[in-house]
Amino acid sequence: MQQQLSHILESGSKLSVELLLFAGLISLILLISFLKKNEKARNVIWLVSLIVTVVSFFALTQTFVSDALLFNGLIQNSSFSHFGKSLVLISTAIILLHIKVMKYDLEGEYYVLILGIAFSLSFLLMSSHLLSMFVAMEAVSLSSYMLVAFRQKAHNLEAGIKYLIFGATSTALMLYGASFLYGITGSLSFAGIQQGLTSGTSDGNMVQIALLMTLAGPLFKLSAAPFHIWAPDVYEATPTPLISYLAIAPKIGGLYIAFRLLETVPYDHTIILSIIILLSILIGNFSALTQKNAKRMMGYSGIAQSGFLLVGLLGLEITGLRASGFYMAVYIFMTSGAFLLLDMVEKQTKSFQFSDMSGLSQKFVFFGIIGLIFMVGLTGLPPTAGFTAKFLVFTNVWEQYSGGGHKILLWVLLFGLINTAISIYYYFKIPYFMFLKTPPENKSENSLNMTQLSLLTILAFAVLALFFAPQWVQNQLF
Amino acid sequence: MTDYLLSILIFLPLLAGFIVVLLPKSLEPKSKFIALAVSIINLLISIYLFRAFDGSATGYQFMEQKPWINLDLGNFGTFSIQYLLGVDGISLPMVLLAGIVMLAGAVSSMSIDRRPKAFYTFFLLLTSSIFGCFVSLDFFLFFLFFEFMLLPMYFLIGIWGGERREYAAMKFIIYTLVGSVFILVVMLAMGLSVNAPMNSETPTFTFDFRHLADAKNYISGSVLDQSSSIEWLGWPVRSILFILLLVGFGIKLPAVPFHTWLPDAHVEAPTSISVVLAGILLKVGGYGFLRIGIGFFPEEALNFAPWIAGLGVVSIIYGAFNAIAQDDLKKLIAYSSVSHMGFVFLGFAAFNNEGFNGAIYQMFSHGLLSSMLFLVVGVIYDRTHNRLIQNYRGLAGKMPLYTGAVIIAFFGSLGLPGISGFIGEFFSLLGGFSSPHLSKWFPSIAVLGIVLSAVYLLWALQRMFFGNFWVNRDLKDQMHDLNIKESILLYGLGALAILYGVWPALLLDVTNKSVEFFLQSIGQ
Repeated sequence: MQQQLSHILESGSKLSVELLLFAGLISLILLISFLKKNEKARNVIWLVSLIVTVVSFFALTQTFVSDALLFNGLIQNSSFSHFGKSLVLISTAIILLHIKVMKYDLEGEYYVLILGIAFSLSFLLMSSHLLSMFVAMEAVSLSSYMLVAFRQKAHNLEAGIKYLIFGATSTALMLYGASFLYGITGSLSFAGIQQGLTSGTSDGNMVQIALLMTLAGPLFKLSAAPFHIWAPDVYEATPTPLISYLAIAPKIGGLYIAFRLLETVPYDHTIILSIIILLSILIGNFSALTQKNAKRMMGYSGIAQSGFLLVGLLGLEITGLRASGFYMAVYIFMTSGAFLLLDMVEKQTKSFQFSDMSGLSQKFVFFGIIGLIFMVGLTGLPPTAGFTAKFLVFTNVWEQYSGGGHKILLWVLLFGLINTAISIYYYFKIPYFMFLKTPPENKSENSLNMTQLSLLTILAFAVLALFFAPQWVQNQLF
Repeated sequence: MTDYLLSILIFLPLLAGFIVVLLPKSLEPKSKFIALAVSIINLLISIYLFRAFDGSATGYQFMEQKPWINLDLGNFGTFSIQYLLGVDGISLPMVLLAGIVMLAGAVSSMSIDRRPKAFYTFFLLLTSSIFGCFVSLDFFLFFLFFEFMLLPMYFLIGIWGGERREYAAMKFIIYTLVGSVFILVVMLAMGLSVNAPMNSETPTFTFDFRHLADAKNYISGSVLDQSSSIEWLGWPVRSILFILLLVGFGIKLPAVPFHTWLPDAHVEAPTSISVVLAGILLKVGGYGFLRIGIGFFPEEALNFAPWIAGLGVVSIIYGAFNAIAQDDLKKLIAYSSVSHMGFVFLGFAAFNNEGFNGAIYQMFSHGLLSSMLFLVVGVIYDRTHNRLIQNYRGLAGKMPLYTGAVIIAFFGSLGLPGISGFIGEFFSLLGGFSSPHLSKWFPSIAVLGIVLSAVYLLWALQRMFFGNFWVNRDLKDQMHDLNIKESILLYGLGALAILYGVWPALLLDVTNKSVEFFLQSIGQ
């Protein structure tokens, strides 16, 4: 008992970031309860959440990373988790800034949910046990459902329900699969399952099926095929900064868990993973081609991007993992930038339809060029970091292939890259309408807000800078 | 200063592009002079390089080398990407051509008055990446410039183009992007198979052209190792990669059946951009294929020689027949471009000195002549906004200066001796006939292409320029002869075409030694 207690206490001391976030959450709830419900109070709550995020980030940079198991093997703070957590905090900070510069006047509860997602994600990113994984993942999911449905308008509720139903289904599948894994190996911890599978004589097919079902959870978080159906509707209905957050942060956790699960089951996953990747890219890309609404387009493109993110996991080698990590880091800047761009466009045109963007950058040349950078990055063309990211993950594929890997890898390589060329069609719809189309006659004369443009420029700068100096992220990688 | 000449070629336009984009509104009309000045300086530098180049030496000259990005691949090794520039006798003619064509483009675009700031920004970015492409000696850097050419071109066609500009721009960018994706696959594969020779412990993967061209540097056992027998879909992987390059650069060149973006892009693009597109952008495809496709995959290239020649010959004949059928002058010239660029592939497929020299000469000469041809169309389009051949007759009497320039351009294109087109086509065909790797059928059919080009060009000349003067009634008042700017441009290019037609040594002295060395390095 004494020993247990001291282990728990010692484990707790290594979670400074999570404790900080938790303290921040509590103080937010207290502030909401005791402050009056006016704009000033909401500003205070916003500021507190930003401070909590930034302080946690700096606490994170000071944290010592060790691979030791904490809380009796429930969680493990590896360098990979460490990197993931820093990405979560960066994206949280960007979203908070996005909310502010775009002058969203959100209720305090939104910030609790946003920080709640960050908090649960940092546990998800450390989980090394099916139980802790499940609890953390559900905490992320519940906060996300509420974030989508919170506005209580009909279409928000509809999207929330859709999100909830698909989420619940994939959770159920995941639990079902996890129970099989437990049944086969008699252990719930990743290390235990791995040991059970390597030493025992288990039915290979059964294990594969169990793994596939368990993957439903992270794939839902990634919005990768076949658990992608919710994405476009939810993207369309949710306020832009919130969906920007939901398009980024859960993917970090999903990617990590997908990796841990694949790593836990010591079989060759090349074919399964390749099929998931190819399906995601195919469905995402081809559905995005015909969209008329920019936010729905981003929803579908997010599915395809998840496919590209997963490419680094092929072969489960550290090189590929680093490539995926780099991709994730770049993806944060590209996606949050793209959503900020769309939000700014919406301020001008009151719509997310491509056709309403006509001729915008004839009026705002600089704005158009900055926007172009994100679209070039998402497509994966030089000179943006989107190119470096794609280059690195596909390097991994070639490496796996030339190391005697499965022939399907070459399909992933060729097919994935050809899809890059297809994706330019829908990503370039935004610059296409902004630059090439002539503006309609009766255009209202709004000017651009300089703080919004500055934030957009900073994000664009990151997308460009990481191309010329990828070592800024690479040196942080595990 | 002279140590950094190649960098200046790249960064001067880039810098000027930034200056133009930041110009205040009041100075916006001045942006064309910035572009003009930059083009003149770049041409002067190219001429200097051409004069200072030592034609008797092999290998690259005016080299610049700086480490740039080191992408860490963990315990697997590092990617070392260098900022590595240099020219040899193969790329130098292209640099000179880029200088000439970009100046022609800058002069002919001076009449553009819609959103000039944006136009010249894109124009200067395009200039920078074109020069970058021809002087890079690092595959990654080459690819960077190759890919970056697409964006400015997309906007130049899409904003300043004709009626169906958006469609043409989108088609252009998707086609060429598919091509560059194929090249990217090859780049990835090559980068991971070549070890820089100075390092043996952990591999340092390099994209250095000089190392890629040397079979010794391929890591033994890697997929691209010459002796590797790894197959995919029943083909050796090396052959597959070569096919990817063939298609990738074939789209850019363009070779039939990958050419369909070109007529659309040409017809919709404004005159000056057509000039740049035909004059220099297509040459990137030819140059890249020679340097990378043939240079790094010599055995596969040799095995595929009949295919390369076949693509060339089909382009020659198919392009020519299409040109005959056109009644839009610009479309006719666009298809004639497809036809004439076919000789480049035919020359490459010969794998001998005549063939390679001929192909390079053909690229250079086509750069001059096709620029002229598109300017010729531009002249008439500027006046009447109508390019249909049947609307004009007997222009010779009314516009003698113009007719003179047209005659030089047309006769040059159909291969009249004494004008540069003859030398290129003659040497390409000669190479084809004397090559032991090709059936004599290929050059024999290609000769037919010359006859066909005489048909469509002379027929167009006869219909539009000879006979009694007549133009469609609505267009009557606008028919006046060349102004000074147009005359200087057209006759300047015409003079160059004649100069290189009667004095081929001017170019061959530069290329010959490098071509010989190149042939040696690929074992011919």
